[in-house]
Formats: sequence, C-alpha cells, structure tokens
Amino acid sequence: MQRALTGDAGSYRELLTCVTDRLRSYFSRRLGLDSPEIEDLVQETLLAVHVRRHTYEENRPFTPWLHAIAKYKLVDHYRKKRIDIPISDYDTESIFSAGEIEETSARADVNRLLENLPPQTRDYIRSVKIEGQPISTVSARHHVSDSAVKVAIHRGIKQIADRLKRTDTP
Amino acid sequence: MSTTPELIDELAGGLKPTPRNLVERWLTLAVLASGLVVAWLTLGTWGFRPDITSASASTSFWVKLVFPGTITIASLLILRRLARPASPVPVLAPVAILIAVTGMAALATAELLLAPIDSRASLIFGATANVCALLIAALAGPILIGLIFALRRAAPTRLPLAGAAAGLAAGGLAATIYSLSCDESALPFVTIWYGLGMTLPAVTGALLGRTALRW
Repeated sequence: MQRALTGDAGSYRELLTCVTDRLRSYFSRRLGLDSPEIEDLVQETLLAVHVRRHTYEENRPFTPWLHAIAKYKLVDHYRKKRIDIPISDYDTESIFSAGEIEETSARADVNRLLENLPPQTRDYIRSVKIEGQPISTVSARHHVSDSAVKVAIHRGIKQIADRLKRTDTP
Repeated sequence: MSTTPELIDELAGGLKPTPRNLVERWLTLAVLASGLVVAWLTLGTWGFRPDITSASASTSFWVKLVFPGTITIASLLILRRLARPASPVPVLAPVAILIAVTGMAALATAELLLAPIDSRASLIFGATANVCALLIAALAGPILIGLIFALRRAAPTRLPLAGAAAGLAAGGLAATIYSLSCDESALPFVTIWYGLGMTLPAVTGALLGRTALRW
C-alpha cells in the first residue's frame, strides 16, 4: 500500500486483487455464502479503499484499516436494509436448516465444510439436518441413543463454526 | 455494474501519487478559514476588550486563553486520528483536556473560597452570564461546519466520537477567540460559562456526526 501511495500502479493492482479476495470472504461469512449482495459490497468497499486511500497512515498496519472500512460499509448496508445487526457471527442452528439448501453449488460448499468431520458425525448431520430424517431413525440405524446423536451433531456444527471463525480476517 | 476485475483495472490505471497528510491539510484549512470568519465576526462586532493592554499583563487573561486553547489543540489532535479508519486516538490529548478542565476547576474553586462571601455571586455570574455560553456556542457553529466539510473528505469510522471531537475543537476555538473580546476575568465565571459554551457544540457535533459525517 505504501508503494501504491507513491503511484506504483503495479503494486496497487496486486493489492486490490488481494484485498478483493479478503473482502469477499469477509462479506460472505456475514451475508451467507451465495448472497448476490456480496459482490456489490466488495465493489463498494474497493471503491472506498481507493477514494480514501489517503487516510491510510504509512507506518500503521494495513489490515485493521481495511477491516474498519469493510465493517463501516457492512453496517451501512444493514442500515439501508433496516436489518438488525446480528450480535453473534454464527447462528449454529441455521447453518444447516433443510429448507435453505437447494442449489448444487451450496451442496458442494456443505460437503467441503463437512469433510473434516468424523464420518459418523458427517452422516448424522447429513441425515438429520440436511435430509430431515428424525433423530430416532438415525439413532436406530447406528445403534446408538438419541442423545448421542444430538450431542455429536451439536459438536460437529460447533467445530465447523469455530474453524470458519478462525480463518476469518481479523 | 462492471465486473470486479474491470473495476480493479479502472482504479489502478491512471494511479497518481497521493499527497501526504491530506487529512491534516484539510483540517488545517477548515480551522484557518472558519477561525478567521469567527475572529472577524467577534472582533468586528465587539472589538478587543477595552482594557486589552493592561489585561494582557494579568495571569487571568492568559488562563482564559490557555484553557480553551489547550482544549482546541487537544481536540484537533484527537480529530485527525478519528478521521482515519482504525487509527488509535493519542493518549495524551484526552489527558490534556482532563488536566485543563480539572486545573481550571481547582483554580476557580480556590478563587471562590479566597474571596469575601458577598463577591462570590458576581465571581460566578459576572455581567454576561446569560449570553456568554450561548455566544460561544453560536460562534462555534461556523467552525463545526468547516470541520465537518473537512472530515467528509477523510474517512471517519467512529462517527459520534468524531462529531464530538469536532464540536469540542469548534467550541474551544470559538472560546479562545471570544476571550479576546470578553472582559470577564473571574475564574469561576470562565470555568462554568466557557465550559458550557464548549460543551454544547461537542454534544451537537456528536448528535450531528451520525448523519453529517457519512461518506
């Protein structure tokens, strides 16, 4: 960014590309993986970064500056749509509600999220949360108790949420 | 809406070097321009206080100048950071404001306690209590507006706080200029009414900031 401020267009282009990726992941975490508003917000924030680049102080870390702008634009977006700003980043129950997962691309994302879990937990979550099977069916099939299935599902979802939180840009 | 790669190309193409310290330059311009307007209004209407030459020898004259002056400078130092996303507010500036206020209050209390009881009311209310604070607050108006214009060219992300700092700086500068015309010298008077005159614009700034400072 320091070089960009002196007029180095090549570095600036690299920076903007890198920034775009980070913005995309920042906004998709908060707006839902395939929301159409993400790209709009990314472009709006990119424009803001460009127009206000003179407010970046050379000796300070770049990421907090970028993050503050992204958050400002996000809050503005919520304000315009009159949505209450969510307090927790992840509502673990709603990540897998059966009605929301319809497109194949979403399914691919879900598979990616699930692949790091133990196979049994994966099967529980798919059966109960995605396919909507009752817990009793799943527990009978695996010869375990209902509460064992519930606990495993809850732990699995929490693991995924924690992993998403950790890879989030600060 | 163009695609993002196209947008990046557009933004990176034709990139010119950015001048340094644009934030500070705009803030300085705002302070100078609006400060001159207010000085012209104040001194043009009331002139310097009639006893300016003798008064400038007294300590209370300088206290009246340094009290709002310190608050002005400290607020501006805070403001230049609040104008930038994620820049931390300097620690010394709020401390300086606190010291100025408590110092003033201590000196005022001392003056009050050392004075004979009959004169205490006039030390507090002086001759102009009813207008002083309002005049300072009104004079702060143009300065606050100027600062808001400067801030809209920056990128404040803590809007009510930035508005409050701008308001405090505006009130401080207005009070500093006003002290040149005002012939009240009692420290209790200055603490209360100048203090009120600076606080009102700060609160106004905080309330306006939410909408006026958006970018």
